[in-house]
Amino acid sequence: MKLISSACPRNCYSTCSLMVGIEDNTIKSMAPHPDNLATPEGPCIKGLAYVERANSKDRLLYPLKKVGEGKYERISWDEAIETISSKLKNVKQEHGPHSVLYFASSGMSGLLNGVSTAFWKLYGGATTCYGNLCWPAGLEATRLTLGANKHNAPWDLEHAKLIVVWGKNPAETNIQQMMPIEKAQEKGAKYVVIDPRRTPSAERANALFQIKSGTDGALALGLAREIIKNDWIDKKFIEKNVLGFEAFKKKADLYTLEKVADVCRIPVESIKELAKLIGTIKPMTLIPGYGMQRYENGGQTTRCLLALSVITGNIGLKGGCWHYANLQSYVFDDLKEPESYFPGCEDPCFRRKISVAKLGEDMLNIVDPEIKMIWVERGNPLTQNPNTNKIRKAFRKAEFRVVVDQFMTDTAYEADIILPAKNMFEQSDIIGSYWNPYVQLRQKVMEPAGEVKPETEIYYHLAKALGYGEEEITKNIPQPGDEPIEELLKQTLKPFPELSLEALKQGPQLANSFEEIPFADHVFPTKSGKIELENKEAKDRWGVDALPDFVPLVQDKEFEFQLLSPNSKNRIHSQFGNLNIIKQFEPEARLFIHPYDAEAKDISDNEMVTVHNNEGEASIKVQYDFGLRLGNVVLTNGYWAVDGATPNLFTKGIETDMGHGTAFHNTWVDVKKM
Amino acid sequence: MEKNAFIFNTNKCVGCMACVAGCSIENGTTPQLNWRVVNGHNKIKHPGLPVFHFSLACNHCDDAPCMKNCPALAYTRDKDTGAIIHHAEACIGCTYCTWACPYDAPKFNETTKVVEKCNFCVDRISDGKKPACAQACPVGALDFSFDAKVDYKNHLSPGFVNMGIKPSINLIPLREEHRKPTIENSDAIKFPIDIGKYQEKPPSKVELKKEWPLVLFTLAASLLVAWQAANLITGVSLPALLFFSIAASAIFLTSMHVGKKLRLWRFILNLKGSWLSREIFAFSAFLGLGGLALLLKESNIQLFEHKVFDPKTIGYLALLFGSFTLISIDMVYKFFRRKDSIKLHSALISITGPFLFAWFTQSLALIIAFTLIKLSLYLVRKVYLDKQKAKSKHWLTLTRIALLLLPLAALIDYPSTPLWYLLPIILLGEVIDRSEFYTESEIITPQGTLNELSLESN
Repeated sequence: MKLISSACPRNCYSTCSLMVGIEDNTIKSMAPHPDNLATPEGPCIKGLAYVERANSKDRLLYPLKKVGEGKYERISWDEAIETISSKLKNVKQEHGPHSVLYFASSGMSGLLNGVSTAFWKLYGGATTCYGNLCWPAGLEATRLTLGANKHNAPWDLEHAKLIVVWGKNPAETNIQQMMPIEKAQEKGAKYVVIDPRRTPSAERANALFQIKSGTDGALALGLAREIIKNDWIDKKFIEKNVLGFEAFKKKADLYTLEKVADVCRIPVESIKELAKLIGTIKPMTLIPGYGMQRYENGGQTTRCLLALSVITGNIGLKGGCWHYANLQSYVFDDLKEPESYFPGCEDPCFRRKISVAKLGEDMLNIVDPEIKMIWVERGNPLTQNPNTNKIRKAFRKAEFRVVVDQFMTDTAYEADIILPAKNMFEQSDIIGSYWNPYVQLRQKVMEPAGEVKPETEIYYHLAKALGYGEEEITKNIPQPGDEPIEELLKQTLKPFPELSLEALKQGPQLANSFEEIPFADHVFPTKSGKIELENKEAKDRWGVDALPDFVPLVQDKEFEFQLLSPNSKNRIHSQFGNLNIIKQFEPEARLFIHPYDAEAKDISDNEMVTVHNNEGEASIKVQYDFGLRLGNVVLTNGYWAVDGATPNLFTKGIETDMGHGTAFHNTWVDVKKM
Repeated sequence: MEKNAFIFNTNKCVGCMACVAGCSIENGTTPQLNWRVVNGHNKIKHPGLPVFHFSLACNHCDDAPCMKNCPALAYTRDKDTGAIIHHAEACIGCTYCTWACPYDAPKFNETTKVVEKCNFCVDRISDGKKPACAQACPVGALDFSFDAKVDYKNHLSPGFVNMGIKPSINLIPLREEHRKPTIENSDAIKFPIDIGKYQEKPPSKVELKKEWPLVLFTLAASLLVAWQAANLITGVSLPALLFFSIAASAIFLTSMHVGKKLRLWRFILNLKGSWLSREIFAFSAFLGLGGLALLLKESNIQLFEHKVFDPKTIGYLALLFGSFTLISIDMVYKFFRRKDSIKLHSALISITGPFLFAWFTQSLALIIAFTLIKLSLYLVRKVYLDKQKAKSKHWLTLTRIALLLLPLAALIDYPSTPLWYLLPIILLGEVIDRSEFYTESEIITPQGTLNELSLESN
């Protein structure tokens, strides 16, 4: 068995380095890669499950054509390319290129994804999406305040004396982060969690502040008031680096202990205690998750939280930082997130954009031209974008759909042509991470299975079939084969002499501009050069208060329970849940509910119930959970229709207050006994 | 002594299941039949109790009860690594090891009909590599040491199974700060939660629906021994044909309980260590000798001149084996942990045997004596269980008592009632009592032990 260095390209914090065991062109094992200091003990259960995923008998290995409801027929690549290219010619001629929706999501990261964009540019453009499903509200909040999204190296966390994990559940979504947390605790650090759920990450915390979902901003402002009142602020730091402190102080002063206790539903004493911890223990690393910014008030909430790190001077310290997103390894991007999500930053041929958060609605409503053809790659919008039913309707309204995927997802089932996608072992590519500071090579270790072709090759053949000249094509799309890919990667690496392809083949390489403790120099790339608690752009661009503020969620009074759809350890969005290794632990969708809420409706544990709201309805099996707040129900993200329900059956499609993110958690449902 | 051992840090484990997946990928195990299990404390997340895990597979104990008690010698210890190796080709599938092991390591595979279990990844550790589970742990909670000095004191940690059998695992217990959660929530429910109501009970390893052949077998054995003894001592009639018919049914019943029926002969390979081997051997000898004696007596054949070959002598020799069988049967069940925790159970075969013997001989004094012993043991147990608030069916209790006393009353009031009328009543009572011996017992398991801990701390 050969061991080859690679890295996991999923949309996940950890971006683990891996040693892939391969024998006879078959993946045999996944072992840790010790060179990655953030993931030295190896990948999580999903990473291990690649052994099954790569060899799964359910994998799509040939192009398929839909021949009837639920019926598919294997076709040749020639037929597939011929059918798709003639359709592409057709719709372009009749309706223009923007009648094609090119939808790509975060299913597989890599620089070669740029080839897709290049193809569609060659085609004359396409309708694309702006915004993002995940994290933009928080990214934008951070960008407005600090000027850039970067944080201390993951391993620096062990130097913290206080760790505040706020709305994040690393034990399930960034499991390697639990290691420095434990190391810090072993050395006597305090660790607290703020979350509406009792998560596995909260089990080792000194305290869990189980606040009402969506009220995080109020708590942060209340804490700020206490900290300011008790003079626990870092005056020197504020004086030198912070813009708008006095105005912020006035804003925070409105959030009295009593008011916050009432809004957040935790006792006054506990708020005082938490304020004392944050105010008096330094260095503090504050780790906000992406969950609590997936509300309509997510951006402002994040700004409120960040203010706590700012006023206590916990920025740019060893063991002290704002640990939201670390884009240090995104060295190849001209425009970093979140700005790359905003409409207006793109090539003119992609100027026609629709909202990723409101995908279904926008697809249905857009005219001149209407969406006639849909191309989906690296994504599964039917389960992952809000309002599944609307998206399904919009997909069915179009004339022709192509989906590129490794498995028959809910979206693939809507397609007329399904093309088999490569997996991470079948083509080399370079990836970054939004947590660890490494640039990595996701290395080709085997020849593609069956008739699988990497997207770069699919596009190459499509471009040929569309009649573009060889020279024009090769300017945009690499020729089939490994050598053109290596050549392209080498070209991309040229401006970065520290990052050679040869070194990347051995293991992870620190990003060239890597800083272990960013902002230690107190240089902030904001307009003022200071940390901007008060920010004009927030008001001008997003129409929110120039100061961080708590904006209460408008509860949908029609329905009783607020539905949270956090990520589970068993899936990355809608990936991995179909594998037997995972299915044995989670065979079907479960609606978590507090037993007392359930019993009030005479619903027993493991009983099937009807969950519904105006967007959708499903029958789901209930699982009792004393770790929830009364009034919350939880359906984790990423289930497929075959599992029983995706949470997006119930989500509305609302954008966050800033960053064009998606407010998944602004969702209320009713739960009924069947 | 330094040895290969797992290291498990309770503070680090978050219950992610990567160890289970790592094991199943390495060993190609059947899904749902994982050799490693992540046992959880407070799975329901009771707000007053901590959630923590014990990830356990085989601990390759120094005093491995699976190996010691396997009747078929299907377990060996690998000298170089200390690994306890299960040999599928030698296994009968009797599942006795699944009772003997308090760590729930041996797993019965319904497809292969034999047991399987963690082998310490013996090939990997022989190559100097950690077992697959330890390598797979993404947070270093489960690790492996090639020269561990196991600290057995830590096995006293609350919720951990500690039987003093020197498991090869260094357990790092929860730090004090992790033992009681602090949860701030103004809307938390203020009244106590009945954990027993919500906590999922782990599947019991002793279930009547699975073990009923053993109920009947053990009773058939005691019936046969009692009858044979009565025949021998007081001349109660016992036709050889009947003896063999009951014997054949008893053997059929035990064979129902094993996965590999063609390997039944392997049952007697471990006379040195296993009460199960002793039981099967003694019972076989009893059947052979007892049957022979009956046949000789019925056919009036004198085998040899010598007195040793006299049917009576052979009969007494058979009875000796018979009595040993009854003791062995009770010893086989030493792994049962009964909810009443009273040493003597009214359905012990060593009591049922003499009780039935008393009935066969119609000795009123003996019958009264054993009926009283059975009755008092039964009542004490029931009262105790009632105090424990264990679920019990009162009608069944009353029926059992009635079935015990009714034949005695009949015998006193109508001394001429033939035994053949009473025997079915007596045996029915014994079936109830013996069945309760199974339903009121359990095998210690890691998950069961954790569940008890949360019940106790409630």
